[in-house]
Amino acid sequence: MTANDKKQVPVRPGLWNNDEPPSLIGSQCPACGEVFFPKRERGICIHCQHRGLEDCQLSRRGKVHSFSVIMQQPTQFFVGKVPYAYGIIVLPEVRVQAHFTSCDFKDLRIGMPVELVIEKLGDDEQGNEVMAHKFKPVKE
Amino acid sequence: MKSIKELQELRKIYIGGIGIVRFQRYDDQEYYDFGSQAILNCLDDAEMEWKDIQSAFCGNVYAGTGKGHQVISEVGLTGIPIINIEQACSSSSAAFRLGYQMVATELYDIVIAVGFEKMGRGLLASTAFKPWELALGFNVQPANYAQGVIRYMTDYGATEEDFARVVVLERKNANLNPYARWYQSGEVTIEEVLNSRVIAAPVRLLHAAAMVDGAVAIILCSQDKLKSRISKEKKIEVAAAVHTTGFYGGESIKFKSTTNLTREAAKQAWEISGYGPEDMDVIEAYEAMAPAFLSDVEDLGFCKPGEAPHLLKEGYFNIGGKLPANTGGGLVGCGHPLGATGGRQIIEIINQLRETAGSRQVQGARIGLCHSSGAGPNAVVTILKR
Ligand SMILES: [Zn+2]
Repeated sequence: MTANDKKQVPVRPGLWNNDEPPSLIGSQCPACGEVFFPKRERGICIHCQHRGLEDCQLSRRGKVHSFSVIMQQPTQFFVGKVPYAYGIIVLPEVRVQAHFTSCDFKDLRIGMPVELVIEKLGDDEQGNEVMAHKFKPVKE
Repeated sequence: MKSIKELQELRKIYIGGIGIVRFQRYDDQEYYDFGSQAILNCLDDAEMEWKDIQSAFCGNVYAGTGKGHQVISEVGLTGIPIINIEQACSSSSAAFRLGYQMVATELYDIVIAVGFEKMGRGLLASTAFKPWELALGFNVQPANYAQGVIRYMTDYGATEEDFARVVVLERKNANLNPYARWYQSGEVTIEEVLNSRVIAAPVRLLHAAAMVDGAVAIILCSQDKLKSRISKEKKIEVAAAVHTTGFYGGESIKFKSTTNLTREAAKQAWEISGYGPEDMDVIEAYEAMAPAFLSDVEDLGFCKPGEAPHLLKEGYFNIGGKLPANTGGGLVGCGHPLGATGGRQIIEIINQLRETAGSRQVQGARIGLCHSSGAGPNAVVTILKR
């Protein structure tokens, strides 16, 4: 098998769209306006219990709300490599949990502007490249 | 649904007895061995027999089907309803609350709340996360704590020394508690905490409660059923027992706003008991990771957001301080067998109110609050008074 044969699979289908550049897909409630990520598969608003949420495209840029750097292997199901950093990013629409990338984790700061990238997380047992949504620091 | 006023008018419920086994590893015992020992200790304290117990509420996380039944079958088969309760780290405080309600509403006169846990050896499999969350490694509990800790440091200027002081306090208290993992194990210094290994920055190894085994049991009953001398002479009444779970806008990191189920549980407990934070003589605040202690005492209303580090530094939460907290060592000092922890916290408050806390006794303690939390999320607040 050559590198070109490797299939790319998302860590979970439906987290982002195929636009260039890609955006995360959330759910919005037409009744109360709340936004959720990931999109709620049952289509029910857990704020007002309205049924029939609509897909919405989330902004690609936001700010770091919190983060942590993980130094030890979490479980055997983890596809990435240790150490890794994840945290909460505040997008204009909703808070999102994601990995951070393209930076020295020591430089992570609350309030730092970040932008969405879709990047390889690791390889699964079938040799596929598992892709994930991550955020990288950007200039203001 | 009963109003606050109606809840206040339910009949008064008292502690009939308490039982605990030391929190430590029981490599050569199964959960039903040391679990049944806690029940026997409780029956002895209550001067009751198993046949006096009319229903049992059993808190546990990891043992399998019919676990409470397994524990109780070591003690006696009397055909009573046995209910298994899994509420993560608040399992046995939730069991205590259910038992309290059953007696308060006069369905039963004497019930037992039990908590027991034999912790796994090595990494624990979590069922609280979805497969894709496990693939992303979002299930690291210290890291999920750490996110809040980073925020707390940024919002209030708290330092790593402040978090280390929680560990110093609890390990100091644990030295005095024969049931604690770290009983007579010496004190730790701020420097030792700061030099311990980082698990998930800024959470360090010494911030984390040790994984140990343990079990507790508490008998709840109406006044006329109290039997042992201590339970009658140092009569401990349940003034409030409240359980809240996540509500939209709650503390889950997934949502937008920051309202908090611990605050809601405390608010309800103050309303039902008629007390306020200023009335408490001793408290237990939940902290599987030491830094959580600081935000907990703030969320419970004992001080304003960001004030706890300063109060801790000046000795406010010490035994002998203004508001002694986690006097038995807390989770950090006692160790944390998930299903037994909530009951262990309640027993610490009972010992303080009975004046049976030995060298860690808070002089003149008459009213105490116990806060547990658990994944779900769950928050349980119990107020006890003498
Ligand atoms: Zn809605």
